[in-house]
Amino acid sequence: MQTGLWFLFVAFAVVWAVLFGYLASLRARQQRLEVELRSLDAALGRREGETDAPAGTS
Amino acid sequence: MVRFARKVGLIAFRELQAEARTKEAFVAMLVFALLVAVVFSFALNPGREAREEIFPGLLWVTFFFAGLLGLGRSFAGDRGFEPLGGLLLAPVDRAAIFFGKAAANLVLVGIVELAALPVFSAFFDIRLPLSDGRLWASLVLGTLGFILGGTFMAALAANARAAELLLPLLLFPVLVPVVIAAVQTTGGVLARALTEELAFGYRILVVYTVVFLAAPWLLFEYLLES
Amino acid sequence: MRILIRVAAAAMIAGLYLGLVWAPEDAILGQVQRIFYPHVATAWNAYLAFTVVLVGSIAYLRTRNEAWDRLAASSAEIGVVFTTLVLLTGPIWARAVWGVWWTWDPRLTTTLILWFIYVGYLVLRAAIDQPDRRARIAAVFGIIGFIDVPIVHFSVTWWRTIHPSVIRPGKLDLEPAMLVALLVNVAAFTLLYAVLVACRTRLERVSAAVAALRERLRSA
Repeated sequence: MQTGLWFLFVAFAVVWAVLFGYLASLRARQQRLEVELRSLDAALGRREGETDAPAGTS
Repeated sequence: MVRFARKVGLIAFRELQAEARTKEAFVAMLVFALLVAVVFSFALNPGREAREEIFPGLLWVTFFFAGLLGLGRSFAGDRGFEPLGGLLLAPVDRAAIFFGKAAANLVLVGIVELAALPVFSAFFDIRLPLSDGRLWASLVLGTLGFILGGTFMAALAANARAAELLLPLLLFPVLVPVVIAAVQTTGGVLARALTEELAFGYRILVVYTVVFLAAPWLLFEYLLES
Repeated sequence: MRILIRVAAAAMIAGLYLGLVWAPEDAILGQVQRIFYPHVATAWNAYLAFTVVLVGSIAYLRTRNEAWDRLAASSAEIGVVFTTLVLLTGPIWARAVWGVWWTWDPRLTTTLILWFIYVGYLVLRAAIDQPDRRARIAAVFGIIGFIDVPIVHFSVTWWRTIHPSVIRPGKLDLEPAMLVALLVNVAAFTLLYAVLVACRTRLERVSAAVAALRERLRSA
């Protein structure tokens, strides 16, 4: 039954590795998106600020 | 009902007319099917018994791959942001477009199959029981299921980038019942199996055909929205 | 949300304990039998996930509410992860109990085809850029793929009966303690599924917001 225990170990290791791997990938994607969202937000704010300014002065 | 059938016939006729002008898909499918027969003979070089065993599988795999060449094209001409540009302007039922295209594909693939069948029979030295209706039932139902599922998936894939790469990927998993049932019933008839043993296989083919006859009525219109 | 995550984590640990330690060792199969708990739990949740894809697909086509599409897309991805786990633990079980990595057993085969169908679903989504078109086409495929599964299962079962396999899966007579361990594991993985869906739909929401912002920036 030594080999049985080995297979059992491999199976559980695989399950938890895949689950944690997937969670890590979710986290990484979420962080990448949030960074992009912030930079886009900033860029949009700047762009709209620029177009607003001349209209205000003239 | 009659008007619907006339619309389907008209669309199928136009498709076939367009194909008849160039014969591109037809020639490609036919030559491909014959080439596959040759390649399989070289690659497998089977003995007598092995030949009988693998023949139905080879035959259907050839039909599926050859048919795929034609299916991929059936919506390709109108691919892009405005699928089916010309046809959609006409006030024709969306379902009629599907069944028209499917009928045209059925005719083309059917002719290719009829042409390839004697060649396969000769190359692999398999005598086909041509008077056995069960053989024809297997060929017709298998082809029908393949064309209905295939035409639907071709329309679906046409909405995506690299549709021709995507089509086999999407189609073959969904086509598994036809692959199994068509090969097993054809093989069973060749091996003189009892009809009772094969009845379930025919039933699978019928169910599959019915499902893919019904699905376009409900879902095909969504594939053509723009 | 935070409570859900904590409950799911606790349930997963409880499931691990019940499956690995508390449940009795199988008299015939020995320790390997314990693979059974996460295997069945992931399989059950894979089916749940794909059913949710079907529901989300139908609801999207009916209402054109993007939230349904996000739910379907998220559930499909998680379903593929779970099915991958089923397909990894299954062969380990097969190797230990039957001596081969793979058999064309109907359930294994259907699960494999299921995996191909929903990997296809994800590839299809990745190949369409416009959000509304992607949602619409994916929904149609999500419905067709699901309808196809029972036919696949029947055909594979029939195929196996005319090609008798040497290896017969042994019948599992479940002791009450084993059943408890199994149910706890199924519940734990279902909670995990709920957490993952919540995370994944949020990701999809942010992704849609980013795409919308990028579009605005381009047109501005």
